[in-house]
Amino acid sequence: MSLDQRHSVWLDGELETAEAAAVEAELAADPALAAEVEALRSVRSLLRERAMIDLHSDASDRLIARVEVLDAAGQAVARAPVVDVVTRHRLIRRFAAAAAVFAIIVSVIGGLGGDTTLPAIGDLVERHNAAAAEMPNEPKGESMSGMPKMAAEMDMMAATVADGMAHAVYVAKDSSIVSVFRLDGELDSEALVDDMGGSIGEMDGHDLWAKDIGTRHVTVLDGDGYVWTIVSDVEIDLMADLVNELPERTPSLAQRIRAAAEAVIEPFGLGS
Amino acid sequence: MSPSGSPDPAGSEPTDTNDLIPTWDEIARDHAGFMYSVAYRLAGNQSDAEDVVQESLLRVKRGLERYIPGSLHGWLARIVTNVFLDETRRRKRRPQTHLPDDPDRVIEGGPAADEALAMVSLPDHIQDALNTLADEFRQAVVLCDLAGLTYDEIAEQVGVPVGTVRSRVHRGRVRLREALS
Repeated sequence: MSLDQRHSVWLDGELETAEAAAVEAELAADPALAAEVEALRSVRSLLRERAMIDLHSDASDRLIARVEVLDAAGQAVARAPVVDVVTRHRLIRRFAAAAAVFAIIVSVIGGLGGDTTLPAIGDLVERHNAAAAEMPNEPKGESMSGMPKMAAEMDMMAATVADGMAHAVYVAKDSSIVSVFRLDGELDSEALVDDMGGSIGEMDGHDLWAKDIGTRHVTVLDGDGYVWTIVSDVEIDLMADLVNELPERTPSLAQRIRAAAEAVIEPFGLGS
Repeated sequence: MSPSGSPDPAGSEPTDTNDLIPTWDEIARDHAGFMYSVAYRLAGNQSDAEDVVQESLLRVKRGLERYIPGSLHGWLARIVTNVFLDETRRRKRRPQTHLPDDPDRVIEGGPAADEALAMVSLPDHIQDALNTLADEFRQAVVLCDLAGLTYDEIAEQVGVPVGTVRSRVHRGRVRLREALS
């Protein structure tokens, strides 16, 4: 007799009773075969007993933070496609820009009340594109001193208020451009999905909608009376990796992000 | 001599009699190591394993209400396997060749040492041996011996007949024994 798959199946306890009895009789009569089966059992045991990997003590915290951000951002899938080769420098800059966007999103929760508003996404993307085409050479001029490290990665370049809508434009150090639009009202994310597709999520009990339109990443967030629309070149799903790098270390993740966000919003009077 | 009985993968598998559904937070804190182990043994590297675990935890978070109390590790292993196989299929459909935008600063993908989630002692002779197996044999062995899935469950997950699973598990173990010797 020689070793065959019946012996593995027997080790796994998945042979029928009669067949298992036959295998056991074979092994009793053939010590060499029995030794080979024991070697297979050792391999099996090795995987069961030695193949587990311990995580770093803080690994679970980091995983939880990443997944909560992804979930909140309404991402149906996890991180961006695996980056096989990348310049770390560029990745960090993109993370930094993404963090600032995320800070903006979270900070604005807590505005005023209002009626349901459905942002004209196409129009806002066009406004973003127009603003990007007319980007001034110098920042708007407000002091950036005291800004958190990540928020300082973005400069305010323009801010306008017209027809009841505020529009601020930021540029990141890697030239990624971010537009933040503020409208009065409350978001009906399901209506937005009906009109535009995309995906919806929730953050701190506030509705959030997200979709890629062309090369632009669009996120709309309900902020207790304001509807905030963020249009950017920055991939929102990279934001998760930046949460741990936000400067404030308060117990709450949301508090940390809000602390960074307030410094972004306040100088331009766009906060609540 | 007697067979080893039903699968009993390593780790602290919760008891089947516990009819309390764990919270997502509890799963992430108490069982992320198990999920990472399965993902790492399937993927063979830390970077891909982290992506798989992250996506798996997201799916757990969004699907926890569908968990029926029983083998928590079996349920988690199936999710991890699904994510891994989805990613494998996606890569086959759309091979990725990212070109660096600054060739002078190119570094290999994957987390820096201080960012890695896991404490993997290198060299890892088990992973080295697993990496010598063809993908289908490695998946079968890991899903059976580490994740603790039954042949039927593996067949359903991978989409092959049970007989194929039996063959792959056996041949994978034989080759693994040779690689470890």
